[in-house]
Amino acid sequence: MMSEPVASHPSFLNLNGIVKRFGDFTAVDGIDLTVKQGEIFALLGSSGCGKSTLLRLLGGFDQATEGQIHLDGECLNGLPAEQRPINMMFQSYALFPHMTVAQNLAYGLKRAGMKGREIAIKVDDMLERVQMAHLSGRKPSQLSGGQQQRVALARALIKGPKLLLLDEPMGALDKKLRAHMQLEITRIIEDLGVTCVMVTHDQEEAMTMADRVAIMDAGRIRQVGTPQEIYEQPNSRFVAEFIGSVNVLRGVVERDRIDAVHLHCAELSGNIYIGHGLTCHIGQQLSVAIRPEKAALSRHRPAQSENLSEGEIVDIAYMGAQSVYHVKLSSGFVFIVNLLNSQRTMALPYQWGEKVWVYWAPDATVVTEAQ
Amino acid sequence: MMKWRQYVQKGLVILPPYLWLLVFFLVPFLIVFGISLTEPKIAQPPYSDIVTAEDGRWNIILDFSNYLWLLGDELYPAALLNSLNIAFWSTCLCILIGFPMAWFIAKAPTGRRNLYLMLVVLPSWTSFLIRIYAWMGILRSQGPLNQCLMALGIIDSPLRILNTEVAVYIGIVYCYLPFFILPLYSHLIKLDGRLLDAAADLGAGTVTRFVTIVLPLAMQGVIAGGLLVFIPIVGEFVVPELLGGSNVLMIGKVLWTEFFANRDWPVASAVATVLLVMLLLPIILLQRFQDLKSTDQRGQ
Repeated sequence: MMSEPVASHPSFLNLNGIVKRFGDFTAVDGIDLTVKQGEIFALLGSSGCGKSTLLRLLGGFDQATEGQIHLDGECLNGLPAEQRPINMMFQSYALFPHMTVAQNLAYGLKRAGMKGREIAIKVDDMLERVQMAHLSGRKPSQLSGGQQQRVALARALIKGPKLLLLDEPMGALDKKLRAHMQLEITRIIEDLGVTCVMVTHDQEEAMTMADRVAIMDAGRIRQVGTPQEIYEQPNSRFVAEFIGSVNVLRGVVERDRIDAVHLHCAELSGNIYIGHGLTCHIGQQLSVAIRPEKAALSRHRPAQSENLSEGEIVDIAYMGAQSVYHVKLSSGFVFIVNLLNSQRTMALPYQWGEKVWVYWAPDATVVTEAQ
Repeated sequence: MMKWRQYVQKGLVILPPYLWLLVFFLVPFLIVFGISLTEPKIAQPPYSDIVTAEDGRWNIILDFSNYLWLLGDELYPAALLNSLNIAFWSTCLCILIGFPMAWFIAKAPTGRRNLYLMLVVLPSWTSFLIRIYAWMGILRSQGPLNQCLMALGIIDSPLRILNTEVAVYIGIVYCYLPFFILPLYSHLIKLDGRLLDAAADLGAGTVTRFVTIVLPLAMQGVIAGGLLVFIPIVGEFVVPELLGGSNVLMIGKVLWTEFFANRDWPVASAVATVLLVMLLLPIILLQRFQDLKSTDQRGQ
């Protein structure tokens, strides 16, 4: 998804040991982060995880207690917001209500000492880019949510910032518009090639828009990676459970070979087979995650001796594109399986109370952490 | 389509305020206006009747000479102009002193705001008259203010403050400041802090943020608070009477003199009518202007 040459500036934005304390409370607790030029980077976490505080530190609205921020080789420590080459699209936009759309866009340019004619050209150009030229004379209160967002984005981009910050960019939009604007905003940002750090609590939004995602929790970063890496190779149970839904099983190592590991799992009343080598020892407890869509159901016993268990369907959630089956295993563990509804039919392939086998392929398991 | 029952219900709701205005504002005003069109008379009441019955015929006599009299004597225009002048500058002082105070309260932590507001309102719990008398004590030649200034060596001999315009300004600003701060505060509290962040983000320093964001958005509050103090100050009687002595001429004092010293009710009524009309006109115009502005902001 990257459009700019990345190699020339391997680390465009550099955070080094960033700590932010408010009195006794540590909101951001030692963050090291590197963002490449032209990259869209998402900070993802639940509320109170410190992601918004980190964004405010980048914007210059607060100053870090410890650590350094470097942007394009320049140290930003101590610089107030008005002196940083960074612009932000605020949550719920913070458009100036007493100014028209055009005046909102011109505000930053005026502060930079630009003159009327120059400003008008830039404003028209930017309004054209976000398809708002026909509404340049409107006040923000006369615009719809989606239109306000376009104006907010245009206002944040018009000064040509080195870094664009997005604070919960889709927070104020309804679901339908959200999907559309996610792609639209990504397109505009990538067209301009501006480096972007966004904050969101919505994993779908982070995965749709960002090249790389950082999962934050309690002021720390738990994992950084592309959306695929985060989803398919979570480095901890926390990340696995945070992104999407997951079945987490515990097992004890029974056999440890070079290219495979066998675990005994009480919840399965059987064994788990992991199709790759691990650094572990016999008798060690491991935590294993299986995504619901990676598992399958069958009425007959599948032709494999491991990674399977029999159970009873206790709940079915029909969601249109897919159905979520809750299978209660004989151990009492409820295993979740997602099946795609690829056939156009009124009848579900499995019914409530039916006895089924749950099974999955050896490469579907992810070992999240040793316990 | 509204059924007539709904009309009646709606009418019942708005009837009390309309009745109130009718009985306590419009009727008294019409009476005053009526009196302003009569002649003074040594009688009880001390003015002539508008409508008289003579030989079975009704005579209506409207005497506009009181208004001409107001124009003819330079005392009245002078007093009116001086009142407007004092009211204008006192309002400016209220804005200068009150704006930072309102801003400070609005920006204070939530828990402390109520305390500060309380401190602003608290003096009003004592009688207005007593507070003005207290100022007479403070401002007189041998009063604590002069003694303080002399003890500090700032002045050698006591300043004459009492019975000057300075004393009137001090008294008026002191009394009316809360009425400016409260409406402005209610506007400033609604100001979204993120707008200031956004302005800073776009390169505006502290002063620019204040001038381009805070001031325009607080303007309605400044106007509301300004009117709330300007209008009563124009007609103010107690403060100039007690603190300004005979040196400060204000229309409220003229009014009082006409009513109670000269017992010239018709002229006094004419003064009151002129004052009301002069204050009402700018308010109506301002209201129209604000209505237009708010529909402009809202409407498609």
